[in-house]
Amino acid sequence: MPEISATVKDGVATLSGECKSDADKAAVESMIAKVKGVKQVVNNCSVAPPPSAAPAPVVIAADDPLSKGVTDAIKDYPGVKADVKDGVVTLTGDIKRAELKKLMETLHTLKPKKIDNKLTIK
Amino acid sequence: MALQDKYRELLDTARSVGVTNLQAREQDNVLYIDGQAPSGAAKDQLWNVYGKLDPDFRSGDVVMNVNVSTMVPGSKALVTTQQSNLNIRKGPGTDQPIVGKAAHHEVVTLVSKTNDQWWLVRTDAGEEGYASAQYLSPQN
Repeated sequence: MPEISATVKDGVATLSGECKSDADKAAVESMIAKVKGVKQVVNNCSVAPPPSAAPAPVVIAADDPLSKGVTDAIKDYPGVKADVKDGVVTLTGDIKRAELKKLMETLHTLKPKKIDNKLTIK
Repeated sequence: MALQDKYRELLDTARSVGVTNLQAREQDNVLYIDGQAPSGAAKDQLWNVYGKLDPDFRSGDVVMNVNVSTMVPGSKALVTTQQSNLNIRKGPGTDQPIVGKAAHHEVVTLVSKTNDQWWLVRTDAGEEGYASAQYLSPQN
């Protein structure tokens, strides 16, 4: 355990450093306690945090709230039609180029799985 | 990681404009980008880069949910409808009755956020109700 260091004074061994796990920390403590002349062990070792977990999976909105949100989002774009299925929003119809970005910005906040843009851009 | 390469400039821009809690996750051939932009201008910049890398947003391989962090309760927001008044409703949904209006380019106070689509707002005239987030822009 190269990361651990110990100092001994008057029979008291003080351990410091970083252990990989609680089990390692306990193991090194009992090992040191068996050393002749050690009366007490002060175990100041820290335990390394576990490696960071994989990123949480992406949350996709259920079709009901997603459909409602999509209906609200497109209501001011009379040429736009939208279909929602299994989280995928499919856009058909037409839209002015100047309005496309704004509509997309709104749709992207609804937590869809993906947005399939089949709009004709005027 | 192919999508992270395709959209590298977008992710680099997100970092350089100071998007916080930035997450970029690939799942089923879609790149999900989440975070909070420090300003409306920063969010605009991201959308401009996205529109450049994927013209007209045709590929369907990105879902970018980046909010503006200055849009917080108590702050003011500008009504950015195309021209018309903004409907203020009794509840969060376009099926809810209209209880007031805010004019185009009026400034309203954000009271609380219902979700990414709806805010409870108050006008200077004292009308309070729910407005669609897509017509509220941060003041900056």
